[in-house]
Amino acid sequence: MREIQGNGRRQNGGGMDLAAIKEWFGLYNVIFNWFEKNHGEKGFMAYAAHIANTCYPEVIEDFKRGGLEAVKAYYEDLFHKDDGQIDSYIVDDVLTISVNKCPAYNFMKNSPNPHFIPTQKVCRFDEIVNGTLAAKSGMVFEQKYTGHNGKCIWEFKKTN
Amino acid sequence: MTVQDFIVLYNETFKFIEKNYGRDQVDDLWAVISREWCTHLRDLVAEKGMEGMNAYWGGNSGTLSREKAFYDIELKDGVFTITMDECPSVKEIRERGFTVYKDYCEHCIALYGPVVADYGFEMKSFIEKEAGTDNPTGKCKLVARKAGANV
Repeated sequence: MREIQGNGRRQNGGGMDLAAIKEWFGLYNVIFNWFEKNHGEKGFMAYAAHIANTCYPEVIEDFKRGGLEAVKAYYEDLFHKDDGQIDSYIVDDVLTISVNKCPAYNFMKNSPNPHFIPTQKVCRFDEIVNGTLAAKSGMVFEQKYTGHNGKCIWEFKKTN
Repeated sequence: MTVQDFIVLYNETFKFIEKNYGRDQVDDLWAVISREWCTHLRDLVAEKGMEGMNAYWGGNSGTLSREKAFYDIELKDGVFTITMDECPSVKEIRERGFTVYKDYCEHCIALYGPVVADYGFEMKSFIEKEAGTDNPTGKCKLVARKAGANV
């Protein structure tokens, strides 16, 4: 067995921000399935609601301040970073985001891991989180499914 | 859903489960993640033993470099050691204004220990905490050796 020494980033100085890795899409799926198996649909829904209500205070403030333009910019940035593809446009106080390539769905569909089978819970999680962010920002959210194939349409509408 | 927020959500997941279902359910989730998510590590260790551990965590394509951790890896005299000087997860959670779940750092050994044990390796973690608290400093060591080896 060969010896390995100094195989790390110490020499680079540290202090860098964490970079996300795509395997975490699969980890979400494992966690969602665990919730449903151990605590049922009700447990999964309560978990998703808790995440939506806990993890996004800065995003909600940004949406409140910047309205639909801020929502559009937020999701364009996220989908770009996650290697997804969307079309987004605002017409008559409605933001439409057409998800043409869902990064979570595509990662899992192309993974050899047998536990990375994307289920409807992935879409449901997005629906709960986006719906909560919208509600807390003076908007309503609707997710329109176009078939469970990594494509869907999101709509954010202002309510005031 | 995005992986850009994953670590914050992961941390809150553990807190939610412990609060609502108890600590044993956190352990149960970690055991399932170990079995169902750690398949790449399993494949590498099955094929290459300790060098598979290095392939998983180390080098430019390993998870730690891709996560931009500040760490070192050594494989010497039959002992594989990851020395984490600045855990990117702990740093991310704190920088985004969240409290680190009290047992957050335990998840690593809970996930990886059982995988390498299946191939005859014993893994231990040594987690540094702030004096007198449960707060992790973000520094730790993960050490693996052949089970029963006197090294």
